[in-house]
Amino acid sequence: MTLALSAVTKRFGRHTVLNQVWLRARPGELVGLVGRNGAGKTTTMRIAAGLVRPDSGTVECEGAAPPAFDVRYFAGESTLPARVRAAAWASLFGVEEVERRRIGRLSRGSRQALGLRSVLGRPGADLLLLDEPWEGLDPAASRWLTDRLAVLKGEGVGGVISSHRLHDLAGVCDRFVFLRDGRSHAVQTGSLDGAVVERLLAEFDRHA
Amino acid sequence: MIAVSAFRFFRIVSPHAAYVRPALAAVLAIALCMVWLNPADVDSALGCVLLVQMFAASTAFLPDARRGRFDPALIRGHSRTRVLAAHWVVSIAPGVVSWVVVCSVAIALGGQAALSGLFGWRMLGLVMVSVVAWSAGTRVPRGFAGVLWVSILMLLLMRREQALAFVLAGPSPGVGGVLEQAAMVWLCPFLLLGGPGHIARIAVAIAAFATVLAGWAAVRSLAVCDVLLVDESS
Repeated sequence: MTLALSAVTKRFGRHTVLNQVWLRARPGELVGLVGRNGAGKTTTMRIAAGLVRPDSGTVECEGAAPPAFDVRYFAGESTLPARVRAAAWASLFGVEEVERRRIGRLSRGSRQALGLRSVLGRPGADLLLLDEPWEGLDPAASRWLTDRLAVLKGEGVGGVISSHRLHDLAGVCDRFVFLRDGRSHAVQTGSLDGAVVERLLAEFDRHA
Repeated sequence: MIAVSAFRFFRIVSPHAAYVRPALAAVLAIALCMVWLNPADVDSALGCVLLVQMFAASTAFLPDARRGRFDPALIRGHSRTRVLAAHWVVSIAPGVVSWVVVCSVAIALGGQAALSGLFGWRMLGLVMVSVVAWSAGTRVPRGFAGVLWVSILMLLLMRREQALAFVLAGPSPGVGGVLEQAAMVWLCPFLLLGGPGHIARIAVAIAAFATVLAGWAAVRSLAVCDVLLVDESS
């Protein structure tokens, strides 16, 4: 499924958070959404997921507007309900979970891993939206995530992964969209190593 | 991916505060004792349940949604209205179950007045509280609608006790009187526990209509609002 955000603009009061953002993710293609904290990454993801409505512009997936299409979306461990048991949460997604404690009792990294396993652990929607997925993960979970994304990509799953940590994205994303002051810029094709992307971002910051 | 049913989601991700179930269990135990001691006076027992329902049904949909708690339910191709309906049903369920248990026990013990707790005026009082508390509580912290409602009732009792006396005394011939009765019934659904008494039927109908309107307005505004993610660290 191809996800397309076209000229998406979002304002909160007088503040323009997103200004004419363009983004396209084709099947089997992972797009890295890069930007500093507060650049509008989370708002872009929530617009793509149908949780926030753009003031202008369109979001489409195979001709359908959200929330009419299914998507695997995870916005980070802080969104998980603390009082729910980990196994019960995972069961909502049809995923086996051995951890029985309440989510609030788990470490931050374990919560993040639980959320990601729930969303990525089973076959399902062909569209991914992951907001800062590497945040708080230990090296083993981080490797699992990178490997899992590679497998899903091979199965034709596409989508958008946001992060302000370019090294994480460099290994799995095919293209990058840079966000600064709500504008999308510098779509770069090809897999890049972290150092190159850091240089790109530095140049982007200088010229934006 | 397995489709997450909105009802199943809210059964696991309970919208209630931690205190609600123990509080309802305690109130239910007290209410059952009251009914057992005097099956004819079911209204005192139902009044206790109604009071807790004012707090229990105020489940703060939007504050929780803006923490991302309901993301899986909101993005899975369900209409927002369906998700809201599921949230309302799960929010009011513990209070409704307690109510039905009290009425059933009262009926079993021979208190025939409790029948209207299941099918009549008393049930209307429960529905009004369940709708208004949920609707008023969708954008405020959990339980806040109950606090606000009880505070208004207390103020009303202290400052305008003649208004309450007026409702209980009998119908007023004018349109203004009927509207005042409707407002009183809407603000104080406890008035329905003794049956309609002297309250004009049209006043009860207006109060019921206002309740439907409040529920509709809450659903309509939530169905189109942005579910931004609130950064709790900020």
